[in-house]
Amino acid sequence: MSRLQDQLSRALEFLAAQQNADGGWPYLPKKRSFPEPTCYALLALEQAAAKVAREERALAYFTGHSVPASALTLAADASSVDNWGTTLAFFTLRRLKLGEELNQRYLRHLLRVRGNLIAPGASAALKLNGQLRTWGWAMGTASWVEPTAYALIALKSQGMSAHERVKEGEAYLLDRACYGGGWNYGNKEVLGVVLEPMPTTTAFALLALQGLESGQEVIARSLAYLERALTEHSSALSLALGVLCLDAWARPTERLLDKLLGRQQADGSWLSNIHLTALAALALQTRVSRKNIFKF
Amino acid sequence: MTRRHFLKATVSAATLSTAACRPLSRAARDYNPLSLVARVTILHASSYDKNLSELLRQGMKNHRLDVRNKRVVLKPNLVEYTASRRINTHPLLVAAAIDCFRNLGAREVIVADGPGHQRDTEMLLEVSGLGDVLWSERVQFVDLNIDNIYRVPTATQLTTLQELWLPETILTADVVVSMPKMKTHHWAGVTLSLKNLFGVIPGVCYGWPKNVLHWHGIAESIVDIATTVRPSFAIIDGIEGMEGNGPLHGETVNSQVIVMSENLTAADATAARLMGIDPQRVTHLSYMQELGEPLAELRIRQLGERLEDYRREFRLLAEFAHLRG
Repeated sequence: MSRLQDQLSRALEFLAAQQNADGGWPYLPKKRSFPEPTCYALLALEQAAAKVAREERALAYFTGHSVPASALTLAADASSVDNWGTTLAFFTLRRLKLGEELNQRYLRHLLRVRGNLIAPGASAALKLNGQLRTWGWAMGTASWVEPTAYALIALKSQGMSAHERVKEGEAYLLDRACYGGGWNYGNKEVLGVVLEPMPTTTAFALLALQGLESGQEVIARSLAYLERALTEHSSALSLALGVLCLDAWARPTERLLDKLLGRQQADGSWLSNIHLTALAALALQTRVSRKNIFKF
Repeated sequence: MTRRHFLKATVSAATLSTAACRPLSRAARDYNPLSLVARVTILHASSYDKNLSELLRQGMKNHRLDVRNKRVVLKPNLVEYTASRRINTHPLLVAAAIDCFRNLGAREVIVADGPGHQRDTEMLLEVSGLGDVLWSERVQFVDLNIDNIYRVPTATQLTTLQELWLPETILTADVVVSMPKMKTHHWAGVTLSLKNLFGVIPGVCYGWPKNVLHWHGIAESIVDIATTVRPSFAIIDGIEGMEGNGPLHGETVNSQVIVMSENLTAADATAARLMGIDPQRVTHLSYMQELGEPLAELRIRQLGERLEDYRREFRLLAEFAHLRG
């Protein structure tokens, strides 16, 4: 455990040192801030020293990049609304109990936006239910697996599991699951070709479907796929998300954690990437402090 | 009638003779084409085991690209990986291009892409074999999906986007080289050096997939990106191409060519002809012609191997049968 704690401490030190002057975190050191690394860095550092000052600065980042009537943006104007960034920010601020007024706006945005309808002809060709309108990455696009999963995780972790948008989101994920289990980025079939699942989207979709029976066929197949896929792949993103997902579903994660630890760099990071390092730190916390921010 | 509609209406009847004689649309008048006549080189390469670096160097002698003391960004096609399918630009061709541009005096060579489906770029680099090449060549890879971004007005307005978020690595490069795989494409007909530019669009703004571009029209988005980014050169990997249900699920074609040009439209037109496709029937290529770029054979000076010696009909999905030249 001490090795784990030591490696986690070094990851957190790396993350704490990367906060930009605007309060956000970049994907890579000394670059501009983005919502995703900002959210995961804040969550990873939840119990770390200098919490108040760090979170105040981060709140300034979120406030400065939000438009009054709407959501989080990339450039503080209404034409650059960041759909999925808003979802992650909502999840993060709620978890940290920060910026309640801001967060109410984010929640309104989250419940208002919907992916586009898919025309019946295209739905038939893609073998999907195009009437299910959940969440897309950007405004004015179709619904996609990962942003839908983010929204479900955010809403369900706030006790909104019975909300009609959540129910529709769950139906969407079940509809889009690959035939053999797991999830591709959006479709299970295109023009007659069956698509293969991906570890990262599968991990998020499974996290989003917590609460469903683990024995349900889609869940059981997807967990089996993920465990199988993670024996073949050793990238930091897949391993970290794999640990967070399998831990939430009460599956063993020791070997994955070992592989993840083996890839940490001397500076405490994973590939000098704040996003990866924050997710890896969150994965290590499932063991060190028995805390899984995605478990609800 | 909007500029976009006008352009669309005029493009459908585009031919060499009419393109040369017809007054240009407003969008075309605003846009300054790269060249009236473009040089395109076809190189023969029977496999990736050959000395591709030397072959590229020989091919470069036909072109005026000066990379001395410049920062060169190579943009391969890195989408997904399936062992049985030739989806991505072959790593050995990327290695050869790195070597070639270094030998031609480039100050720095970087490889960059923003994979369109897969967020796990580390995994993609690993399984595709490109990671090994980058390691052995000591070349930096930039994930354009998470690079610094800047908002840039589009040079043309075939979409209603008006502006594009573009990565710093592309905007600050002295030379951008589009290095696609020669493939059919189930939405765009073909994916070559112009369509390959979807990969410069950052996922952090547009998602995985970059679905904003689909809703704004794939052909129209290709043109707005290409005219805004204006890459300097194309090297098309047609040593092994893909036919049928490309860009991911088609079959391998052993076409044994590399196509090079400083004009991406002309490079793609030649590659399309090599695939047995009439480039004038490919929507985004016909748009480029409308903007004044060389598409017709009379405006392309073909160098290297003879096109007709390497032309083979790539199998097309039924929806794209009309593209056959």
